[in-house]
Amino acid sequence: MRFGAVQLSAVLAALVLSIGMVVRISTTLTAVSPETRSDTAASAAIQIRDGLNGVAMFDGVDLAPGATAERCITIRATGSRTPEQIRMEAASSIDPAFEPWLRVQVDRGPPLGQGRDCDGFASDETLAAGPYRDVMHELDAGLDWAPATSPEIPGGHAASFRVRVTLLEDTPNEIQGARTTFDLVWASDFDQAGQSFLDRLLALVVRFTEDSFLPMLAIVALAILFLGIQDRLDVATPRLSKAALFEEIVPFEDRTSDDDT
Amino acid sequence: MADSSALDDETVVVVPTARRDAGITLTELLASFYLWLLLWLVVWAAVPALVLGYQPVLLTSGSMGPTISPGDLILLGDPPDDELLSQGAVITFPDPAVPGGLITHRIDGVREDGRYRTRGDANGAPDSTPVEPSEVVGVGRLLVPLIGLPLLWLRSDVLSFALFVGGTGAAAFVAGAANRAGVRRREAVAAREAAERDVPTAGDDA
Repeated sequence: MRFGAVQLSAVLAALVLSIGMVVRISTTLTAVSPETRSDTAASAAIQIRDGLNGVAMFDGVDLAPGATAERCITIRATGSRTPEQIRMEAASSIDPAFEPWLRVQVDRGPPLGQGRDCDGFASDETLAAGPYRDVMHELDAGLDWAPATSPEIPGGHAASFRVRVTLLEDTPNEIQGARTTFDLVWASDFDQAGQSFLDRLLALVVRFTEDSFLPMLAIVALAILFLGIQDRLDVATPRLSKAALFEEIVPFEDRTSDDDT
Repeated sequence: MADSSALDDETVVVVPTARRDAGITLTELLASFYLWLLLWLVVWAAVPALVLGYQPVLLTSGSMGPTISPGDLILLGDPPDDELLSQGAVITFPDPAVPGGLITHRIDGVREDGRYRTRGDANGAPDSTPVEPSEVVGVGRLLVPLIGLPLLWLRSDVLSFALFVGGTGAAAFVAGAANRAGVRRREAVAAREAAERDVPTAGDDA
């Protein structure tokens, strides 16, 4: 079957759009539901999930002055690649009135099961400890965890993190009844050079089509605009449409060689 | 060297119309684009099923909206044998309320007893019945949008199905006519050039 350049362009434009549609919508098969999407960092081949399924670690905890509360969370990296590093960062939004009276300690240890309880937790390393502001400042720089060196467990590489929060003994009464939140974020960070070409290509396509169909439609619109202009030029100058295609050059060359002989 | 007489003005006027000779019109282009998009989506649905053995399942309800809609075709891979699936995976499992029926929902979490808590994206609450890992029929691997919509229309909306069939038929007719015209045009040009090679020019006479 012979195709003109215009028809071939339509074939390619349809192929590009179909790839974009399928790849873009297929990413929803492994993403978490919209309400908990922020708890998952996903790349082309790595997914990080917490063992609490998006439930706040300290939800429902009441602290009296001098008391300490602790909760644990298990972070698991799954996927076709093992991330070189998983970065833990702070995304703080704490009530400033609370800030001077909180002490925070973050430890990392072997993975526990589901749930927030720290029963059986054994700390391998204290990542940060001290006044809230100092800990958050330290976490702002990011604390790297290399899952590749952690014990491998079925379903991926995992570690548990214990967060201890202490309200100082001399906390003023004005703080009583106040509530605050702060966030800890885990994100994958792996060597781009270690990615296969397919991983990079897939990540590029996913990123390109992640937000909407508009980028894909823009390509198609540009292709149609180009073809429309070409069509008008062909109408205005029919000779252009008679220009020899590649396969018609061959007999043309043969004829020339016949004339030469 | 090229024979300059092959492109002179007298040769051009033998073409039926300038518009037809100019090639494809915008309508013909859109018709061709639509048909190829349809074909590519069918290829995306068929090739993984044939090559990788993925099981196609047509989504018929809106419980996974807005990300996954009725008419989308989900291609299911085999569930893992020795490990639990992660939160966020879309799985298909037997409908406990309808014997022989299937439900496709997302894993919302793993219970302490090892069973999956599932939920449709559009639903406000998890499903009432947890799913045993052994009950999982398949895990969503690929999603082909819209391709199953005609089948849904055929079941419940005959008018939409008729419009789809009519529109696709019209597009096929338009694109086919354009293709046939293109073939005829090229054959005419080839015949004309062949005839020109056989006719002596004024320069040859001199």
